[in-house]
Amino acid sequence: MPAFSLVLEILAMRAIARNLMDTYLGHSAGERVLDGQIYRGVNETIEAVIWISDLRGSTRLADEFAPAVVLGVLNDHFERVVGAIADHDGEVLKFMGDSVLAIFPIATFGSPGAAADAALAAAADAEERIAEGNRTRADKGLAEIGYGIALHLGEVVYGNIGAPDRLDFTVVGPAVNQTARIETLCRALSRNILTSASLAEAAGCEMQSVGFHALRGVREPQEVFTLPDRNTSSTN
Amino acid sequence: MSKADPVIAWMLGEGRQTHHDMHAYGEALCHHIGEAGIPVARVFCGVRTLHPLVGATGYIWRRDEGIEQVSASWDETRSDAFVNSPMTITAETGEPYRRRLEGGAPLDHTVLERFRGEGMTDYLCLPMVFSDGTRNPMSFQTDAPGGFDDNDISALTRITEAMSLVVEAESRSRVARQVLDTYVGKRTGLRVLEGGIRRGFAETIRAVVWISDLRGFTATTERMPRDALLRLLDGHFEHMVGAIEEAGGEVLKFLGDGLLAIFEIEDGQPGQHACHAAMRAMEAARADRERENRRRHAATALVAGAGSG
Repeated sequence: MPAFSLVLEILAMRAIARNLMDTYLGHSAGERVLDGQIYRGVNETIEAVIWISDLRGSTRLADEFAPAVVLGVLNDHFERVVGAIADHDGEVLKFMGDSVLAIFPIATFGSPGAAADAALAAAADAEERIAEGNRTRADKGLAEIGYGIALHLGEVVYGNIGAPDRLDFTVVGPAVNQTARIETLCRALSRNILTSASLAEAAGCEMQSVGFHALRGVREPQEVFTLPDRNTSSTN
Repeated sequence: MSKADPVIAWMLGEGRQTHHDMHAYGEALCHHIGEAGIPVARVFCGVRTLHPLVGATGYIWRRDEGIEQVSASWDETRSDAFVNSPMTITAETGEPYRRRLEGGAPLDHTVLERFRGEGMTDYLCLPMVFSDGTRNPMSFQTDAPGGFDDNDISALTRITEAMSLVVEAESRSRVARQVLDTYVGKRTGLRVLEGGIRRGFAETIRAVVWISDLRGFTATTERMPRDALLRLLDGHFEHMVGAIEEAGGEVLKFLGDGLLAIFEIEDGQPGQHACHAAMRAMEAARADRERENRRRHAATALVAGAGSG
């Protein structure tokens, strides 16, 4: 009997650790950590579609509404975005304030084209889910939630970054910075979804150019794209 | 009746209830093994860990000196001495590893030569098998003439089986805490473990909020080789996290080259204490960055702002 209770204890603790890692690090990063990749210096260079999205106007929301209301709006938004990403096999790496960082690794999808198409499908799905949320909000007389999603295909370093005993399992690199810069263009160009040229090139569908734009910290102006004939943001 | 029976009864029953840390448990266990008539002079039990600084940890018990905790960094666990040791071989093959040390026959490991030189007569290393199939070593040495007999070997085998349960439970209970400390933050991690993991759980706290980043990071790193980029980021975070934690703050997250931290203001207390702590951290971080910038002559500079709210 004492041995049996120990076995139960062990199984329960295994489940807890797995659960916590899935929740806070994402499934595949969590699995890597539990597999022993917990120390700094464990990382690899991978090719992936990088997703950065954010919710617009959250600073205004935070100024106008009680923290509980803002948290409710954020959680509802994250649920829609994360649901769309997860349903298309992407992996959410982190939330920062009102933004989401996720990846669609090429290795998971077999080819850059397949990863790009999955990410675009996830973006279109997220658009759909957020629009549905906005219809519900409109029925209650609440203001629409604006957002932007940027997608880029590039090389990132995936693994442990940080201080020796306070780490982050994430992606870093110029490609991540560039995605963040493209994301800030969403508002200026009144688009919900924007992609880099490398993603548009890999995509299976014909993407629509919205011209060349200067990105802060990036030398050359970059051509950015959107899904054709749709998704003109209605919030601007 | 096997010599193992009273030992195992103690291990899974009274022992776990009365000895809550592995140090005391191990010491008492080795005493019980000796009481049962198994002539152990040294016992070792070790596990691979999930800790960012420690790759493996374990205890060594010596009959005359008592128990001592030992640990190996991740680098040390990749060294030849570690990788080719009898304990690593046992964990990898899952097979018992026994060498009689009496007589002058050559031994296949220098560490075994050393044990022989110290008067040991027999060495037995056994695998502890965890529920996920991973294996960790437990070893026994004796200085009794003739070494262990067959009854000793079978008793030690059963004791090791029981020990695998005890050690797995102990090491798994630490895993959740260690990974949360590492990836979520020490205080936040504790809150998560104490039950705040449900979504919608949130509390309002007063805190000094710290947000800092590296200026010009995108431009600086656009064409930087991967290893240089990682060194730059890791080095920067190491300094910032060190300054923040030393002053009593908690790093909540990293985003790219930036980080978010808080200095919590205790309930009902004025904010000065937290503000002073944040200022101290800022001074330390700034001094650090200035030293680093002088060294690098690079365009990466520190920007840190702090406000109370």
